[in-house]
Amino acid sequence: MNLAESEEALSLVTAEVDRALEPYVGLLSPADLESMRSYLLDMALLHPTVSELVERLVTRAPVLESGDLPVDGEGREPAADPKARGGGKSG
Amino acid sequence: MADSPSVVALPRRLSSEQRDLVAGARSLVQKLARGLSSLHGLEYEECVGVGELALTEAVFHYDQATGAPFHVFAFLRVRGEILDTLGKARRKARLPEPASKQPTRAPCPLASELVDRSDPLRDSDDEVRGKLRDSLTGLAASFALSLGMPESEPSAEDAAVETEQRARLGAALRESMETLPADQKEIVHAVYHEGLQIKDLEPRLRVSYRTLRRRHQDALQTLETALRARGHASS
Repeated sequence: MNLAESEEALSLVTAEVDRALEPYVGLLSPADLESMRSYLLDMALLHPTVSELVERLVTRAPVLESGDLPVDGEGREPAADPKARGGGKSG
Repeated sequence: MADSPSVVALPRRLSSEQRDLVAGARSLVQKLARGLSSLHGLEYEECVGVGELALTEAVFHYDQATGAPFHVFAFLRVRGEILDTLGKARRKARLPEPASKQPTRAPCPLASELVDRSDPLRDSDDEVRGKLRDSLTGLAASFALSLGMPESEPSAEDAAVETEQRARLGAALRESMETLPADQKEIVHAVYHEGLQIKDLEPRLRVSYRTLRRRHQDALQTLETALRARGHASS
């Protein structure tokens, strides 16, 4: 996956890079700050270890949430024959 | 091609082990070339050409004993060589330069030490995001230390342009370093002031490379926190 061309990855990484740059605003010259930004963007999107984390965040499958979901048979009338319900032993 | 890249010559022969390392890391060059061409407007084919040679050169400097995988070790060298070489070629051809004009000035030792300790199956998104955040804040601190505590005197050009700003950065870093425990301060001083490599500190400090690496990363996080607090305090 080319993260550098993924809008989701770029948006995520830009926000994180901006956060990482915060302590250096005013301490670094504009040119150095730009170099640091460019360096961090490259790191986040291309470094073998760091980009792995970004890739995990943008490609993770949606997590199934707990809650009420329709299941087969729900809402139907109870079966007349208890054996047909597949229940265990009664009594 | 914009210009013939002034790439490194290869006078040495690769051992079979080195050839395997280079072959195994070839996908790194392709990934970097794709990414750098998107991010910095460079030609993909040129990036691959320069990157392949830089990867081969990197293997001669690689020390497996550090525990860092070769592709992680080679990352900065390949990236730096691509941006440097193609940046120079663009200057000669009077084309717009890539975004980073001086990518290799700050060596950022942390970049070669980052090892993935996350668990893809167990880590929640928040944990993965936290690890990404730690990596980026550590890398930023490593970059700032490389700029603000140079092991050598700045060039006349640097001095003329950025002395005042660098002095301010250096003062902030030195002040923030006072918040570090002695063992972390020692590592930061050795790496960023004396220019030593972390693995070289093992005999001097009599602790394992793994411990040194952790202390280095902890030091960078502590420094970042101190710099952040300092920024909030002064704003």
